[in-house]
Amino acid sequence: MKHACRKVSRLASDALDRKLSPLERLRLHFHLLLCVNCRNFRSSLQRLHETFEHIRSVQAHELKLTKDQRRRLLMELERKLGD
Amino acid sequence: MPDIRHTAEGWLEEHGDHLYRFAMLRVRDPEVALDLVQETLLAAWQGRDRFRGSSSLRTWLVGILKHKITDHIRREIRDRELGKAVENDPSSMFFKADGSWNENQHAWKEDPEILCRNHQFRGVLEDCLERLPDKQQKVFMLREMAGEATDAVCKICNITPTHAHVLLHRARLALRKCLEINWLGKGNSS
Repeated sequence: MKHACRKVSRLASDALDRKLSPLERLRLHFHLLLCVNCRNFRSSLQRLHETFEHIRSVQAHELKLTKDQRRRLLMELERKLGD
Repeated sequence: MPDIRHTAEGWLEEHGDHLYRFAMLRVRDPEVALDLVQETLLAAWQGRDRFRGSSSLRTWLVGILKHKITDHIRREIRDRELGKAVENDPSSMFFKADGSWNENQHAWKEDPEILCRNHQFRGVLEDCLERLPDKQQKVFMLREMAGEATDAVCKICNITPTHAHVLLHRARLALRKCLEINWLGKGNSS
């Protein structure tokens, strides 16, 4: 089964972005039963994916315009719109 | 005619952070994000007669910003590809010729909910994202950081779904490796 790891890593990645076909799911899960490396790879990808989900919600509070950025924006807008 | 200063200030006050965050999650660079917000507010002011109030003002502004971001990303992809060959396939770094892993893969034990609040980890993550090749970085940011659906990512970047999946796969392989070396310190285990 070893030869399939490269392809299975792609399926594990794709599974985060699209719905796999029944055949692809079968291939993925059958391989995962036998291969600890791919199991570990997949679980890491899922953790990474979840981490980004959390970061997204954290950034809703963190990411803000600074006072300086706000001032610069306003000055630019006035300069360009003012005349 | 409404007062320019008053209106622009009001929009900035009310929606500035939201627009900036929306842009930052997609383009990473604070200067670029700031420019895009500025262009959005300018375009909104110039086209304010077209705002009908059928959607909220924020939805309208975000709609304008989305177009600006798409233009920016497509321009970047186009410009950078001119002088550069197709990004090479990095999978030989991870796999042997027979398609098996080069190194043993370890499971991560870190809890995503704790990781996302760890400033040191976030710093390493930013560095690793920065090191991704341009196109991989753009697609990955849109998909994972901004949480866009794959078809939206394809539209913004003007690429096929298959191409997007290839780029995301490469980005994940590289990012995971980078994080293992720089965060988990498992770089040389095999």
